[in-house]
Amino acid sequence: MKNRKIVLAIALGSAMLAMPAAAETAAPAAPTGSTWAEVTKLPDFFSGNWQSVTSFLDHPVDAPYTDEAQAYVSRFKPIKDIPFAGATCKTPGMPIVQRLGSPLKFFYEPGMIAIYIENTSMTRFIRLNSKHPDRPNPTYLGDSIGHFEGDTLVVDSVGFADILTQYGDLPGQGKGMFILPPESIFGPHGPNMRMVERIRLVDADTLEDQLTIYDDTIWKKPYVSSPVQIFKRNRGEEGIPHEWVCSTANILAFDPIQDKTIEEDPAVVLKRLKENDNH
Amino acid sequence: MKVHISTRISGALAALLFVTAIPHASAHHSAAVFDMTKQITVSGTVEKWLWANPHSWLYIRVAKPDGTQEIWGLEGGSTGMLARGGWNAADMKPGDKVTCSANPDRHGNHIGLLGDVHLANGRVLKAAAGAPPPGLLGPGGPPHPR
Repeated sequence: MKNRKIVLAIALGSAMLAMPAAAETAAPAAPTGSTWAEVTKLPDFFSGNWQSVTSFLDHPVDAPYTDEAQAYVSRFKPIKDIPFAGATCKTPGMPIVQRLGSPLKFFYEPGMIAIYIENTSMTRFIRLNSKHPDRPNPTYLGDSIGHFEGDTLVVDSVGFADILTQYGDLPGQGKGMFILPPESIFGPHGPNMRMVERIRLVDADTLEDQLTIYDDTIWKKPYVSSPVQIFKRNRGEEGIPHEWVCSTANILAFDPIQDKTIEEDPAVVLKRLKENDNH
Repeated sequence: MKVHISTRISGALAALLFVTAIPHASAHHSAAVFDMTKQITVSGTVEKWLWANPHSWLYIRVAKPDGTQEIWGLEGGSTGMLARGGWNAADMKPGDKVTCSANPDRHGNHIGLLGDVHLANGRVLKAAAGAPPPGLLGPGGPPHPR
């Protein structure tokens, strides 16, 4: 009897060893954002569009500069106006291009969320549950991947071109509701700059985007952007974004090289416009 | 010509206008060139209504009392912002009579930041605030980008 029990135990043990573990056989659950049907379960980022109502430049942030950045900041001279765009409307890139008051429009397909940015008519493509390429080419919006943590879309972006990078604010500046360019310090970023955004709905018509920037050539610790960017939703006709193509017919343009606003005589510009109309 | 300059605008309102104008003009310059403490009225004949980005421009021929004429250029919002505010590229055409409010250039150039436009048919194009999301307007609310 005893021997029969031993044989049975050995047989059962062998059988169990031969069985693959249940966790190994079950297909892993697909991460959120993998199917068309899931769009109905995602937070509604997609209806209408979103406009920032917060300052496009940051309040002072507690992120100490590296020695190299500190030396740059000590030499930095305040600028008179916004150091991007100029006559050619060059985009400031991430993150400021999202904050300029022009609407953002979210789209979804399995494995991707896209964000059309009306200002400069650019679109971010955020690959869900994916990986960055080994060697992302530099772009103004960066290479973005994302995943959901509950109802929060976490977006990780790398591979930035010469975007407008705010290091911080000049001493005693940047305390108002809206921060102005002459209050801020701008400079070059490092090759491994990384931005992490946590995007979620605060209520049905309010979206927040909390940004943290990692760049160890500028800051000794992560730069947690302030204020948290708040966007309000437009619905209906107002929720449809428009195209945005840069015109060269501006009387005014800021030249960041000269740190000067260039003004033309409107009569001269009008004459030029009419001549162009005739060609 | 009718160019009336008023400095009666309150300091508080001027500050609000200035701040409000910052995001509006951020596409390529701020409103720093405009004197937001002053408001002018410019009346004349439309030469061109340039529906464009980053800013639309209204060109007006103004007849002065001495018989001479001036060309004024008034800067409006981006096309998307104006459209959401109810404006249209077909609202004005050359030859139309208009009366506009504007904030003048600090350096005396014949330009301004465009406010309201009164059309000859009585319609008023209000200084376009884009599409105001709910709850944004009114005292204490964040100024809305134009």
